[in-house]
This record gives sequence, structure tokens and C-alpha cells, in this order.
Amino acid sequence: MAMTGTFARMRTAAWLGWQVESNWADPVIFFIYMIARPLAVSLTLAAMYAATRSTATEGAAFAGFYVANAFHAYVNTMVVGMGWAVFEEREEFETLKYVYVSPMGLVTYLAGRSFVRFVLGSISALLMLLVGWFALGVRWEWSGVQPVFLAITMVAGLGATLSAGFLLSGVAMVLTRSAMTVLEGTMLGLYLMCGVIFPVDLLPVWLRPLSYALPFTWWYECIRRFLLGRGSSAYMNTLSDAQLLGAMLAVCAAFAVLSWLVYRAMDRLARTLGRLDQTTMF
Amino acid sequence: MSRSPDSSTPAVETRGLRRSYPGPRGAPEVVALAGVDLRIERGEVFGLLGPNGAGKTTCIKILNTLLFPSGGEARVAGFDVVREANEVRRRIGLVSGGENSGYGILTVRECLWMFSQFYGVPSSVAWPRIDRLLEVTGLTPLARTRINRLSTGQRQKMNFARGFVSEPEVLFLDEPTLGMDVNAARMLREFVLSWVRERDGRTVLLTTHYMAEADQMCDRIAIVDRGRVLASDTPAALRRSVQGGQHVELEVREGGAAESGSIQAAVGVPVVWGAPHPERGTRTLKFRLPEGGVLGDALRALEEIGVAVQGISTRETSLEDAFIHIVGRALDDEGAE
Ligand SMILES: Nc1ncnc2c1ncn2[C@@H]1O[C@H](COP(=O)(O)OP(=O)(O)OP(=O)(O)O)[C@@H](O)[C@H]1O
Ligand SMILES: [Mg+2]
Repeated sequence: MAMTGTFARMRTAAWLGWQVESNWADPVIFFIYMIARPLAVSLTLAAMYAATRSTATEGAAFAGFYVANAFHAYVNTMVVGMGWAVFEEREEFETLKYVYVSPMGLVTYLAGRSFVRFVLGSISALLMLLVGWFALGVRWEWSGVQPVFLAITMVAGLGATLSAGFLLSGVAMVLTRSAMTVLEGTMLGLYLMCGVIFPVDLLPVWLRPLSYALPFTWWYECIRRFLLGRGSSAYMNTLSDAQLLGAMLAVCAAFAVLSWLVYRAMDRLARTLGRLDQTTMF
Repeated sequence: MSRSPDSSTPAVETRGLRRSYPGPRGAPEVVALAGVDLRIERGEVFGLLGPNGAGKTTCIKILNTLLFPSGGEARVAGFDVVREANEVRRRIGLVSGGENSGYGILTVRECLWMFSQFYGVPSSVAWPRIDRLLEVTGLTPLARTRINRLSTGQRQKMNFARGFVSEPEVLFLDEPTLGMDVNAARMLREFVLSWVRERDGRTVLLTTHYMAEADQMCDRIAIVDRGRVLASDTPAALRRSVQGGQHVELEVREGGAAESGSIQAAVGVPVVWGAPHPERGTRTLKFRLPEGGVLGDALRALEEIGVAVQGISTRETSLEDAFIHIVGRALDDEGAE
């Protein structure tokens, strides 16, 4: 009973999310956002690697980063989308407080909204993989794919993405509008830190522990290993398949717990500071 | 769906409720609530009346689980607003006047439906209820209009309707008629009253700056100022607390030499300045003549200190008189000490 109620409310939130997301009156904008932009990223990436390409192994490395980049679409759409939803509700619609004091609560609401972003992220990722496969030669041996490990990887990775979304939504609750840059900075940080476009081995030594503490570093490495059959980091290549999967699950679980704690703390802070109904131009 | 109201607990109860905000950069903190005790029974329409900055909105935000109190205790429908926020949220509705909230991309009807879903109201119940609320607020012709095409007052009406879609046990209306035209405000006041009367144990907590609104709507009123409840009673009893006498309003010529202090000394009771009438070059002066006082004496005394009286009217005690008596200043003379 309680579960079906929550589900129905999430569906309503997703419906609202779709109304908001699909509101680009102009299909051209929709096309640019959903298709042209991911395409541009993949072509840039291809050009970068083509310029430095000298051996066959570098071609394989390119495939690894190309695929990670495709799946990074989830982080880009879901995490930013959830953090942004809090700002938008508070500053633009001024409805955050009404959602907050409704029995549905912000958590269910954000989960519902994130679903739409998940669908959009999936479209983006799929498009990039298709372009890679047909136009850039980013292919894999179907016989080498490990479907069970890959499925577990996807579930855990998407769970980590959702956790990060809640973490940033919580932070957005107490931040002012001018602090939107925090959101953008975080996204850029994740892009550079998680082995999306270059191996984490290239990071300065003191930054590597932080990189290994992020679930996305492990998520992308697992995708490379279980889909393409080959990882990108010298350290993570020393782990067996089971070890790599186990490490990823542990990091994702720890990250989920941490995100939830931060979200709860920020929720309390927002109620202490009275931020939930403030439109902030301060 | 929600548990039926347990009539043994009051709808709202606060004990020593306090809230302060950090002051701007180094300034001392602002005390918005300085120990508020309220007890609102089920089925009441209860008003919070007070000047700007008295702490009314702060109190409502705490009761709505939007804001933590700095001290004291608050319960809504028997549940603690800090520890049992989810139980509280199942039972409340909130309407804040004077704001521009709403999903611009949705139509009026969609927006109301969506909120009904947030409260778990089955669609078969929600749709007729929404249509009825659209009718009451006069929004039926705009039902399929996008919210970003509405005027401020129309948004206000939609916001008002939103507060009722879940049929909450306790409804908080923070200046609900702010920004509405006179007719709309009157219709909505009547609607609130019939809404409460037709249902068992529904409670409304209302803040307003309109004395007539408070007088007409509220079973009981708490007069608040600077975060404290100064008096709490029925409008009739509050009026009665201003003992007998006559309320005198004089229209006096502006620019006379006399100051408030000497005027007060001449009349022998506290005086309050009302609105100026620039077109006639006069201003209203109000005071309450105590029982046994002779108006003629007061007028003569004023004449002696050079106050030119151009018009005289007297009337019965109003809620506003009671307010002035209790707070020490009128609702509209802001900041006057
Ligand atoms: N977010 C905030 N930060 C700092 N001070 C605040 C904040 N919100 C309210 N205050 C202060 O708290 C006091 C009470 O404000 P509140 O909004 O509760 O008054 P109110 O009775 O609703 O007034 P009004 O009739 O103008 O709506 C005021 O002095 C106000 O300046
Ligand atoms: Mg207020």
C-alpha cells in the first residue's frame, strides 16, 4: 500500500519532469541538446586520439575512453538534472516549499524527476555507442563480453549516479543561486578525475586516492573490462575480474551511504537556515 | 486514506516557541519569535494578527515543517513538527499570499491535479474537487491556460485552490487574499468559512493585515507583536477588553503647531494619527474617550492649543481599536513607537 503510493507519486513527479524537460518549444534545440552535443564530444575525442595515434594499442585505449565517455552521459544528465531541479523549484517556480511540505517529500520527488533524466541519458549514451560502432570503429567482441558482471556493473553504477544526484541536490538546498558554479565545478572535476577521457594513472599521485574513492572511476573501469575486455589503469589491471567487481560494489555502497548522510544533513541545515522558500539573489 | 482527526488533541499547540535569525554580518540576531504559546482547537478558524515583522510567517513556517524552531515546542494535529515531520505533512495544507509560485509550463488544471497526486488523492476524487475549486476561485475559464499566462492575482487564486485539493486537516493561510481584488477576496473568505463549517474538525490558521477579514472570519484571534502573543481571544471579547467609552475621529488641519505630546496632554488620553487627506489638507486624529468623558471638553482643550478641528465622527469599538489598545500602535503606522 505504502509502496504503491510512493510509486504513484514518483510517476507523477516523472510526468512533471517530462513536462519540464520536453518543454523546449523548438525541436531544433532538442536535437542540439540530445544528439548534436554528444556527437560533438565523440568527434572531438576521436580527433584528439587520431592526432596522437601511432600504435594499435592506442586505438584500443581510445575505445575504452570513448565508451566511458558515452556512459558518462548518465552522470551529466542525472546528477546535474537533480541538483538543478532543486534550484529551479526554489528560484524559478517557487514551488520547492510546497513540494517539500507535501507528504510525498523531496526524496520521492527527486527520484521521480531523475527517471526522466535517466531516459534522456540512455538516449545520449546509446547514440554515442552507435556513432562509435558505425563511424569510428569502436567495437567489441561479443564473445568476450561478460554479461552478468556487466549487468551488475550497470546497476551499481546507476545507483552511484543516483546517489551523487541526491548529494548535489542536498548541497543545492542550502546553496544560493550564485553557487550554481559549484555544480558545474563538480561536474568538471568528475569528468577529469574518473578516467573518462584519460587514464587515472596520468593524475598527480596525490590526486589518485581521491579518484579511487569515486565510484565512477570503478564503474567505467568495470565497463571497459567487462565489455571491451581491457581496462585502462595499470593498478586496476592487476585485479582479477571478481576483485575489480567487488571493489566497485564496495566503493559504490560506501558512496551511497555517504551521499545519503550528506543529503540528510543538508536537509536539516536548510530547515535551520530557512532556505527552502528563499529566492536567493544574494 | 489519512487517519481520521483525533479530536482529543488540539489542531495546533505551541509552548515557548522561539526562533531567531542570524543578524546581517555581525549585527545581533533577529528574534522573530520570543516564546509563543498557542492552543488552537479542532474546527476553529484562528487568526494571527500583528504588524509587519511580528513573526506571523515565521510561526507558520515552523508549523509547516519548513523551518526549525530555535527553542520550545510545536505540535500540529498532535505531532511534533521536528521529530514527526512526516506525520505533520500528511495533515496540513499551506497557502502563502503574494507570491508568484507555479510551474509556468503546466495548465492551471494540470498543476492542481499534480499537487493532488503529491498528496495521494485518487484521480477520481481529485478531478471533481479541482473543478469545484476552479469554480469557487473563478478560474474555470482559465482551466486550460498555461500558468505563465496568468496575471499575478490569477496565480494567487490558483495557489489558493492548491491549498484545498488535499482537504487538509489543518490549513495554513498566510495572507491569502493579498493582491486579490475586493470581490475575489470576499468570495474566498466566504468559501473558507463554508469549507470549515461543512466539514468536521477542519482547522484554519490565518494571518492577515485586514482587520475586517480577521473580524469576519476568525473564531479566535491572537494579537502578536515582536514575537510575542499579547492577547488571544474571540474578536468580541477583544473588543470588549477596550472598556466602554466612545471612539472619536477628528479631521484636523495639517500644519498646526501642536505636537502629538501636547495634543495628548490636552485630550488626556493616548492619540493615534490616521491617514492624511492631502486634497483637503487635513489628517485624521483618533482617540478613545473614556466613559464619562465629555467630548466638548476635549475639543475646547484642542482649540486652546491651536488645533483646528474640521470634522468629527464617533463610533463603536472596532477590532482595530482593540488592536491599537493592545499593541500600542495602529496596524498601518509602521514602525511608529
Ligand atoms: N530569513 C530571514 N533572515 C533573517 N531575518 C528574518 C528572516 N525571515 C524573517 N526575518 C525577520 O524575522 C522577523 C519576523 O518576520 P516574519 O516574516 O515572521 O514577520 P510577519 O509577522 O510575517 O510580517 P509581515 O506582516 O510583514 O508578513 C522580522 O523582523 C524579519 O525581519
Ligand atoms: Mg508574513
